[in-house]
Amino acid sequence: MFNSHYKNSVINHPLMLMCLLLFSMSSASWALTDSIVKKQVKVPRHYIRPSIYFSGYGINQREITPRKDTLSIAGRYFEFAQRNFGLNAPLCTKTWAENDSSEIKSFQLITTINSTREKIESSILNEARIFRRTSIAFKGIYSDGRKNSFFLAVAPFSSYDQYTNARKGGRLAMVFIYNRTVSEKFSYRLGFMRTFVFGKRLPLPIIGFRFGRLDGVNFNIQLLRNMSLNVPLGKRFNYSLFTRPIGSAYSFKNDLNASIPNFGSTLELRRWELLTGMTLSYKASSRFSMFVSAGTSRGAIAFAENTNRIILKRDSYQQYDLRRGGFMNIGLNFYFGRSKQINGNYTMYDVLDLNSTYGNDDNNINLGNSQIPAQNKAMQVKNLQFNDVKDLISETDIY
Amino acid sequence: MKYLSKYILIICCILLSFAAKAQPGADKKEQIASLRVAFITKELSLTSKEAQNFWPVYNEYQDKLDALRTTRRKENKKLLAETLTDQEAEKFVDNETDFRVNEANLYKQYYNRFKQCLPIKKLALLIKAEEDFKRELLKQLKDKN
Repeated sequence: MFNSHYKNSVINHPLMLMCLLLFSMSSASWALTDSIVKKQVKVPRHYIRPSIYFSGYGINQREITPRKDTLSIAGRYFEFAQRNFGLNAPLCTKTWAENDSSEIKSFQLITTINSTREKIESSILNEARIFRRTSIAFKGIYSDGRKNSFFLAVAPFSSYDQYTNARKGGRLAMVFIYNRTVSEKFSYRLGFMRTFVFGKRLPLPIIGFRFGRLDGVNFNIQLLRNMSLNVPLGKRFNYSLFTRPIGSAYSFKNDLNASIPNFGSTLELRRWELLTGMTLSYKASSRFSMFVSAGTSRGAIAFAENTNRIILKRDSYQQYDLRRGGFMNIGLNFYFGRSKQINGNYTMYDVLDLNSTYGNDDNNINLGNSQIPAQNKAMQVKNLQFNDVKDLISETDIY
Repeated sequence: MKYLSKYILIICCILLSFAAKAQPGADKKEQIASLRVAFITKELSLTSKEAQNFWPVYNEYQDKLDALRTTRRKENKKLLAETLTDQEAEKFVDNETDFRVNEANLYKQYYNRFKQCLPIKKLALLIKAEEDFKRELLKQLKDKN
């Protein structure tokens, strides 16, 4: 009953929700300025542009090795593919600046609506299973305009087992971070997260350091989330070497599995991988960016009967090691509307980085930092036209 | 139905990528803005603290200036037809007067605020750097032609 209602209701579709939100964002991304500028004059209100992203992640078929050989399964393998699409959009931005002061404080409320399709094929399942996960993250970022920023993201999500049409109850991921931009070349972060990236719900601390400029070469250590060396290649390309964990937890009905005897019980599947690889991202224009990421990963899967969704002892799980193998991750980001200029505002660069790094607890979402302006050293504008400078000149400039 | 939604998604992607390519002017504007920052940073030798205080306010000033100029361009485009009625001519003159007054007011308001974040000698250098940057762009335009 619930499922048919869910399927038939257009408004429940994540894509429709995103479209609705995007249109409301684009109409609300402009605001009247203060009294000094007359009516009709509108400046962008948000620091972050609404964007739509699509991404795909997959690993090839891998051999799995049981840690304890308790079940007899013919041909041990595991294969995984994931697709994401979603919307990242600012809901409201408030800035404060005193008349006699340069201090600009800001608060931003941002939402990321994400829809994920995950396909698991494995010898532990009789048929491939498709899970759909929908999450809505609300992120609040407060920056005091000097060096301090506070980030809080709350992301409830629910998963849906397409094979048995079973919707499992919601879960909640969250993260809180304090960021201090000590200088343009160094910042640190402290915080905690409630995450599923290690295959089960874990409260974990976050300790992060960034060495180097966000708009230049930087080494970013965000323990226990990621570690990366980022190198811009000109204005449009960025190359990075990284290592990071990914994973999730799934619950589904045991209606097919011959390996687990209790037909009808609820199975819990945990998956996690440690990725090591490189990413090449390309910013085609201010409206579009993309990335390709590849490397190797190794990890583990574990499953157990857990009908009441209680915390089980480690021994209750059938655990398998996932053999090292290749992975591929690609993504497209489309940006809409306009945003406030943030050139040279390093605290805001960190705020943008917080938004793109943390949120929905889905680590294959790569919003990227293409909104951070490239550092320009060469004084040359390509294909400069009169129209580009006409606002800047007066007749005395010609003398 | 399943396949149809896939095709719709692919078509949306293609359309979006066209839309993404459709605004070369916006890119050029961003490039000039980022060059301006590099130029001013070099000319003023801003300390880390000065930069942290100055850039948010300067960016806000540029956003408002940009909005003023965009509005002026849009309004004038509508009014600069071959033949103008008296009413249209008056509106054009009023728009231009408003623009110049608003631009001057904005300049005054923000330069007073810059005084709070930069030493006065650096503020004087800022005025000079803005002029020099303009001339640099004009020089590039001249060289190109």
